[in-house]
Amino acid sequence: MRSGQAWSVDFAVSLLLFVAAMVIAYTMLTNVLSDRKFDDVRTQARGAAELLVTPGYPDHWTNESVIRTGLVADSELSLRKARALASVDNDAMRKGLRVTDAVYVYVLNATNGTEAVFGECGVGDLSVSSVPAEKTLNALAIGDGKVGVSVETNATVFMNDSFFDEMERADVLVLEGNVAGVIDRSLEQSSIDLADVAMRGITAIVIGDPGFPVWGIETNSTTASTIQVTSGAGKRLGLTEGETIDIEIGGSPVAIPTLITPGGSAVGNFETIATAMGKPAIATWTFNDARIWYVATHQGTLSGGGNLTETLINATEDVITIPWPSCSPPTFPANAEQIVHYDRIVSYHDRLLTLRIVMWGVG
Amino acid sequence: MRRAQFALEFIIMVAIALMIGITFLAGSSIVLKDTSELQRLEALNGIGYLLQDEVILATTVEDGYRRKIVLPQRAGRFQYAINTSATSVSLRSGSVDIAYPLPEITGSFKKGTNIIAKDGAVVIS
Repeated sequence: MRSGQAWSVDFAVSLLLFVAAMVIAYTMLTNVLSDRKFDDVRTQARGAAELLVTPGYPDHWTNESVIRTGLVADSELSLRKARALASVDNDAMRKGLRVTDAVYVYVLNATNGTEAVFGECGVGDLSVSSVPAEKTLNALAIGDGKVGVSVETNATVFMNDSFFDEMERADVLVLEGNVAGVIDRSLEQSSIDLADVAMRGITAIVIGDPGFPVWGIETNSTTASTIQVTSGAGKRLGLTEGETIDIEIGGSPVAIPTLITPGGSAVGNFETIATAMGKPAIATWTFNDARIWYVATHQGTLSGGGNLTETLINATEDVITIPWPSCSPPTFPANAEQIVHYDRIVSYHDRLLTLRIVMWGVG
Repeated sequence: MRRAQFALEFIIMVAIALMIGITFLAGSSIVLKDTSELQRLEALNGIGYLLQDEVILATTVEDGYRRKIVLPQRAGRFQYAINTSATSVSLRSGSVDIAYPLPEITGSFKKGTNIIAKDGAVVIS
């Protein structure tokens, strides 16, 4: 048989050209799609960056109520919102930020170091190496001297009006006992000033009736022998759901100031943690952007062991001294494509911080 | 007449070319399918987030507010369906079904013209 004439050079060249055309077409197609993907990632990142420097919706959102995520309250970075964002899973975070691709959000200070406002180096689809560390927040307390919780913590304790002069920059406020009895200033003005401070993402712990309406607190005297913990939210105060707190003194029931459920537009996300005679004795809610914890009494013995005062001391200290790790600069994945970052400036305690959002597609 | 001597080689060459072409088409269709799904998601999000923003805006304004918004018959080039509840709106297209949380509303969204009104509460008609 003669050799096939199809194995001629011109046929081989045409086959080569055909293969080359296929490769070029595929490469052009993927390049065009890659450019579109970059535009998409950039648009998402820009939108999310704009959202982050707003209060979000609702203005004082929690993880249960959030529709649109934002980290600002009263024109400042809200520590409460930052910590709330850190506590959700990445899918929920992406939904709140209206992004679909990989994202990482972190905060930088003036020297380009990471500020762990989230309680970790950042939030999102990246792990950053860090050294565990803590930070003591600016905590102020005011009380009648009879409770004795905040004196055992890192809070600065006041028993007079000076508390109100200093509270503007506080992150944590503790009110113990009959606060109205130790201040000379107008109770109405004090209530207004405390409501203003609550516009930022502070944490407030109130032990006993403060003696004037503040943060939605109004109480009723209830005589009871025990307080029953009914909600898992008590875990954050060191209480266990189902636990009983014996508050009798000398074997006799005592009168404690149980809560009348707070109302008003500033109040949200009310949750009863423990009850006495069916009424809220320990509860938490948000007031404007602040998280309020109310405990009717500091005295009692826990059925699980220990006493309530000590439990409250530990819980208060946990609020005041929080994880604030020392973070290495983030390193993004080697296969990250179309990587984009946007920076936004936010104010926090008279400092300007940089809120950075980084987004990328994955190859 | 001599028969063509390159018939077998010709068939082999055509087969090779076809395989290359099929491989190219398969690769392209996977890439294009992924892109198409992303476009669908983008189109749905464009509508969903618009509705979210409109309802949020309505909750922040005074009573008496009225605004007309027109929802397209298609999300880009994709068919879609809308389902509204008191606190969310769901958009469905193909195998994608996304719920967008909303502030509380009365009424439901539909394709075409919708009126968002605020009279105490936010009402969609």
